[in-house]
Order: sequence, then C-alpha cells, then structure tokens
Amino acid sequence: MDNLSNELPFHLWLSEVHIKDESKIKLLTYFGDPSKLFFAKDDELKALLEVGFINNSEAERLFAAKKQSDIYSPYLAMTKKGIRILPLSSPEYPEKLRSIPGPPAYLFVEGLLPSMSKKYVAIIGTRVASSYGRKAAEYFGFELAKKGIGIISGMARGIDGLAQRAALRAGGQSFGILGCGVDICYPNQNRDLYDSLKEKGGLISPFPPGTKPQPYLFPERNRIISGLSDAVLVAEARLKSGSKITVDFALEQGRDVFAVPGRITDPMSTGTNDLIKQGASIADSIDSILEVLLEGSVPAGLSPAELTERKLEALRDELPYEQFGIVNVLEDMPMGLDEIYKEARKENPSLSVSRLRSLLTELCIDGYVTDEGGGFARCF
Amino acid sequence: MIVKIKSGAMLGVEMVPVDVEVDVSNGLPRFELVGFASSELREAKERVKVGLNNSQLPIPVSKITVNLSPANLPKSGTSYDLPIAVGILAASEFFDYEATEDIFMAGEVGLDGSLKGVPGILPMVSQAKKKGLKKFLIPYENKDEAAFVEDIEIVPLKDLKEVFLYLSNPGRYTSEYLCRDEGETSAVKPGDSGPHADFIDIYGQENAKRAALISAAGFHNLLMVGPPGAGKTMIAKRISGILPPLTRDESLEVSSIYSVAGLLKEGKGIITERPFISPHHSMSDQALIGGGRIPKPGAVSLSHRSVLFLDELTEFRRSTLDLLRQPLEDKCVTIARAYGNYTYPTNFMLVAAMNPCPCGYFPDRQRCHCSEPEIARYLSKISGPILDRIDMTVEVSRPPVDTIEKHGEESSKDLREKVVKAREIQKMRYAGKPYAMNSELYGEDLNRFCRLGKPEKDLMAKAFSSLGLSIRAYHKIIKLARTIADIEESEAINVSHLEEAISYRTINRKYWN
Repeated sequence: MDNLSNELPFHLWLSEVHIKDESKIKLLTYFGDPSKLFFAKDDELKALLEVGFINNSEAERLFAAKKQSDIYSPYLAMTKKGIRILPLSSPEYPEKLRSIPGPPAYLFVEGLLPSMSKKYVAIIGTRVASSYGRKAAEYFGFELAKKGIGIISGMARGIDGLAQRAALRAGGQSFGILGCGVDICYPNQNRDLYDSLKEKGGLISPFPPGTKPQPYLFPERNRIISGLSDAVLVAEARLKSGSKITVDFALEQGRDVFAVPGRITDPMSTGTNDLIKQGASIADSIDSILEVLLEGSVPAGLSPAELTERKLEALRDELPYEQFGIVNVLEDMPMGLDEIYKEARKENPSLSVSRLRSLLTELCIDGYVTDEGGGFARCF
Repeated sequence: MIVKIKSGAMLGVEMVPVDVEVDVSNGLPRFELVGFASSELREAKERVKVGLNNSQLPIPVSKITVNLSPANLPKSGTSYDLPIAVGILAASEFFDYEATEDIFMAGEVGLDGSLKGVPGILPMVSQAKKKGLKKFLIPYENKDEAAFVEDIEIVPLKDLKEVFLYLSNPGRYTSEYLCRDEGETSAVKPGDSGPHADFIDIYGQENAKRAALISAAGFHNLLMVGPPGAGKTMIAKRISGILPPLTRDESLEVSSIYSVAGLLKEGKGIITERPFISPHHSMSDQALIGGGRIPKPGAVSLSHRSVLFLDELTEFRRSTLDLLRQPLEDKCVTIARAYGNYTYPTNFMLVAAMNPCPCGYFPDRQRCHCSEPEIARYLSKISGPILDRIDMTVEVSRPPVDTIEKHGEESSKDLREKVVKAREIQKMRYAGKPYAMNSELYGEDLNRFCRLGKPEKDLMAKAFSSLGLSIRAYHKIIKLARTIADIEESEAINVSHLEEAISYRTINRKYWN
C-alpha cells in the first residue's frame, strides 16, 4: 500500500497525459510503476516507438509531459480537496468496472465508492422531464433506495438529478458519475445534490480534476454509469436521446436494461417505448427490477398505478365534491387551465373560471396538485 | 402703431400664453420677426406676406417688426402665422384694433391666403378659456376639436379674406360661425382603430376573458403567455372596449395629447373611445416615451387612460422596456430640453403578450424541444422591474379547431357593464383620494382598504410557505383580490377572492421568483 501511495503523484501525472487509456494501461504493465515511466530515458521510449509499442503522437505527448518539473504539488492540491485517484491496479477499484471491456485507467473519487456487496441501479433519462418522467424517476429512486439498492446516475438536470435526490431522501446511497472533474459542479443548478452526494454517497469521474465539461466527454461517463451498475433503468427518453448511448454500453457490458413504459401518444416516451419494443424489460414497479436483481426473493409492494388508484379512492371521501372533481380530472401530465375547465365542467356544469382558479390554488396549497407554470398536474 | 394679438405656445400639453406684438411704422420697408423663433416659424414672414398679397390685402410699404413675447421662450410651429397676419392688418389700420382685442388666434397661412389646421388647438383653446379668453379665431379644419370646449365663442375661418371680413364687421359673422351647441360634439376616434372588436367573437378562452375583465375593472397591468395563434392579440384588442367610456375630462385629456401630436384630423373631432395602441417591437425609444427636438408624445402618452399593448414582449429591446418603468410608476413622462421640461401624462394600462419559450409551444412537448436553460434565458429577457409592475399573468392556450367559428356567450357590452359597476364601487371607496382604482393603491391605504380577516390571513400565510410566494407578490395579490371582490360586489375580501388572485401568479412563481 505504501508503495502505491508513493506512486500516486505519478499516476496523477500520467492520468493527465492526453493519450488513450488503453496505451496508459499498456505502458503501466510494461513499466510496472508510473514513476519508472516518468524517469525513463528518452532512448527507452524511442525504442518502444520503434517497435510500435506506442505511436508517434503518443511519444510526442509523453516527451512533452515528462518535462513537467513538479509532480507533487498537483497531487497535494488534489488530496487537499478530498479527491482520491484510483488506478486500475488499485484494490479499491470497483470490481464491476474492472471487468467491462476497456475499463478506464483511472477513477477520481470524492466521497465513497460503490460497495461490492450491494446492488446498484442506474436511473437515467431526459434532461427535460415531463411531470410523468419526474414521478417515475422519483418513485424508482426513492423506493429502490428504501430496499437498499444504490442509485447511480449522471447528476444531470431532469431524470438523473431527480432520481438521485429521491434516493438520498429515502436515506439511501447514490453515486454521481461526472463528465468533468469531480471538483467541478455541472450543471450548477444541481449544487445542492453535488454537495449532498459528497457526504452521503460519492462523486466519480474518469477525468482528472479541473477537466471542464465537454460534450465529447459524456459518452465515456455514460459507459461508466452502466459499468458500475447491475441494471440500467431508463425513466423517460425521446427517441433521439443520450440515454441510448448508455443503454448500448449496458448491453455491451451485459447489464439488464429496464424502461418505464409511456403513453403511445406521448413524444417524451418514444425512446423508452422503443427500448421495450427492442426487448428491454418493462419497469412498471420496483418489483419487476427487484425480481431480476435479487433473483426470486420478491417483496410484495404496490405498483405506482395501484398507489394512484388507492390515493384517488381515499381522496373521494377526504375532499369535498368540487375539489375532488378537479383532482379526478387531472393527470400526471400538466393540463392547461382551459382544458381542465372544459373537462371539469362535464361533471360540474356550474363551475366558473374564477371558482376553478380558486379551487386550484387551494389544492396547490394543500399539496394535492402541483402547478407546472403552464398547467396543473396531480401530485401523486 | 403697435398691436398685441393673443396666441399660445405648447410645452407638452401645457399652453403658455404668447403675445404677438406687431409694430408698423415709417421707415425703410422691411419685415423683422424676433422672439426666439425656430426656422419654420421665421418662414412665417414669407407665408404671411404672400398670403396677404394674394388675398388682396396688400402689405403696407413700411417697417414691420413682429415680436413673440415672452421673447425668451423658444417657439416653433406654424400656428403664429394667423396672429402675425392679423397683427399687421390691425397695425396698418385695415380695421379697428379693438376688434382684435381678447381674441385668441392660432393657425397656419398658405400662400393663397387660406388658413390651415395646426396641432394643439384643443389644449390651447381649453387652457386659454381658463385664463379668461372667450373668443377664438382658428382654422376651419380645427373646428371640431375646438368645439369640444363649452361656453366659448369659436370662429372657424377658411382664409384671410374671411378673417378680414369678420374683424372689419364682427356683428355680421358671429351668428354664422358660432358653432358649439350644447351637447353636440362631432366625435370620431382618430387613427384606424375603427369600432372596437367585441368579445362575443371569442368562443371558449373563458380563462383569458376572466383575466381581461379583472384587469380592466381594476386597471391592472396584464401579461398573457401562450403559444402563437392562441388569440392573445385578439383578446388584447378587445380590452380597451370593455374599459368604462371616457368621461368628459378624460376625453379632453386624451384628445389634448392627440391634438399636440397632430393626430386629430379634420372631420374626426375629439376622442371619445379609448384608443388601443400597439407599437411594433422594433420601435425606437423616442417613439415609445416621446421625444424629438421639440418633444412629441410617444406611445405611452397616446395610450393615456387606455391600453398600451406590447405584443411579443420578449422581442423588445431590454433597454426599451426598462424605459417603461418611470411612466408606469409616475403616470407621466417628463422630457427635459434646454429651454424647459415637457410633461405628458401616461396613465395607461399595460397589456403584454409573449410566448412561453423560444419556439412558442412550451409546455406542449409534442412540438416544443426547448431545454429548461433555454426557456429560462428567454424569459429572463424581461427585467425584474417591469415584472414588478405587472399585476397578473395569465396563460392562454390554443382553442380547439372546432370552436373557431363559434361565438362566445358574453359580449363586450356585458363585460363593460361589470367593469363599470366595479369602477363605481372603487370610485366611492376612494372618494377624496387622488386615485380611483385598485391598481393605484399603495402603502397605508392598501392596508386600510384591503383588510383581511383571520381565515384570509391564514390562507396567505399558508400560501407563502407552501407556494413560495415572494414578498413583493403579496401586495399585488391583495390588490387583485380587492378588484375581484369588487366585481363580485363583495364588501370584504374573502378566501376565494385571494385564491383566485394567487392563481394569476403561477407563471411568475415558476420562472421569475
């Protein structure tokens, strides 16, 4: 171990050299120790170049990088921030990830690491979630976490963040896999999640600290999301979506793929419905996931549809007639005021717009209904 | 001999009395015009000289000096032509000087001696009357607007020959030209607005109609958010038609502004219907606020006592929108020039419309692919200070196709009746106050006139914590609830009024909190 910690500053140096992970791993196997690579004579590298062990541009980059005079202070700066570097050879390096084709040469971690004994589900999906997608992400994030399943995702806007927040709310564990350095919070509006993941879970990235988020870095992040998970769940996605990339990696890595089914008329669910068509498992409740993950030992639970139905039945008694009439009209998707008015008047023809508006405000205040800026949706 | 003719200069909508002093004396023949005159005014010399000649009223061969007093006030425009011409005739004793005494004159003279209309006649006449003048000699073209002022004698004339005839034997012409009969005003609106469109044309959209009713009843500034083709513009156009009819005083105020702007044309008389002003978003700052070397009223003043509609609010330059802050706050704009300040009233109701996102279709995800940051960026084009002055926001959605040819149930007439009723209640409540509408309530008076009971206070407290309302939303909600209560003819503001008022802030809460 001591030996390893002496090597770590050199590992950080190597991680920052712009050559392929594959080549880094190859070089490490050859030299055994990154410091040996750093101190290697120019002739030795030239010889490796001549036999084709490394190519021209790689050699150039290595020569340039070897001119770096200070190896230790970047490392100290990193450890001061609480960030650790895990080379592939580290015993801490997650076993699940090590076994995927082409594992990343380095992982940077702040906080915890996924544990060997636990099961992990990646919940991913669109960044602009509908209220249905939000509910799905929160339901699966929360309920799976309650069953002790860890939630892995990309900390992005929309589904990712929602599922992770829900998991933390349930007292569970969650890991954010980033497409930038772990010292950078992207997107910035998820700052709260970023901070709590550091404490109650972990932030993991294959990129050295200080790496800015770039579009071309995200596929690599997605590969690690699926690599660290036992199953991948797509909560909501359009046909053209980044989640597709993650799903492809998941299949390549042999992970189970689940998709939350959507309505056939809903463009926001075309991606998930398409996945189901291609053979992904339907995630209609956590049971369908637990069944596969825990192999048989299925705890009985209510499906989201049953939960909604029960809630509606309870509200029928709980709420006055007028209020219930409105809740009953609302759906998961936000409905515009004009539409609610039209629908609610079918049951209650004397309803006026002003009454409807005041009822909706009342229901929002009491937490039965949420307003989405452009419309209103059921809260449960 | 020296004569003085009474005329006036316009500073904004304020008239400053000007004496046109004319001296005709022996000496080398020349024509001198002094008194801080602009270039178009200095050209009056040529117009008057030739005009008189062509009216067979030859200008005397002597030394003519004209002074516009007070001489330190800058003067412009062509309305001094008539007093100068009359002054020359009187000073050369074409008729008795006494015949011109205490007659206010203004008008432009053409080379053929004809009299042409000038802007600003209505405010000149109405304010000159307050200064004690009773008789007005003005171009025939301006007679309709001047006729609005009661209890005075107006002599609208077509050319200098008539002026000469009238002044040489006043008795003969008086009866023919006295025009204002009690109660008779030839009143046609200016511009091309035509008769106001009617709410009966709109089927469905009950939600937007209700918002229009409330905003009109309390003169609340309204923002409509909705996709293209939802009918935002249709609704906005109909709002000025449900505002209460202009009172006589309001009509005078509005017409005065139009008169100064030169927008009251012959045969159109004064303004009795509230105008609807809808400037394009590419408009210049001057066109909005008013301006120019001699400041003319801008869109904010032309919509005084009525609706200023800004369509595609997010397309306006932010700097232009920010200019609205002062007029919305002070109800007037003051434009400073080296020689004085021009103040125009701007008590308008702002009605704005915008799309919810760059593509226009949010939250319809079938069509809208805008991301949340994109939407946030789009909405942030509207600055906080402007949003602060908007009392209610309403979402307008596209009506289903099958409703397009149907008609609504409530006509503008029905809605106007409700508005008038609510306004009456407000007027009685605010008797003796400098304001008459709920939207103008501030500070102490707000608490005094909008007392909340225990259940209402509880509701507000609950709404604050669970809906995350901002403090500045608080007063707006109460003012709006006051108007809703007035529409329902309820003395007290109750829970349902507050709840409805809160619902007009959903969009603000989501995006602009």
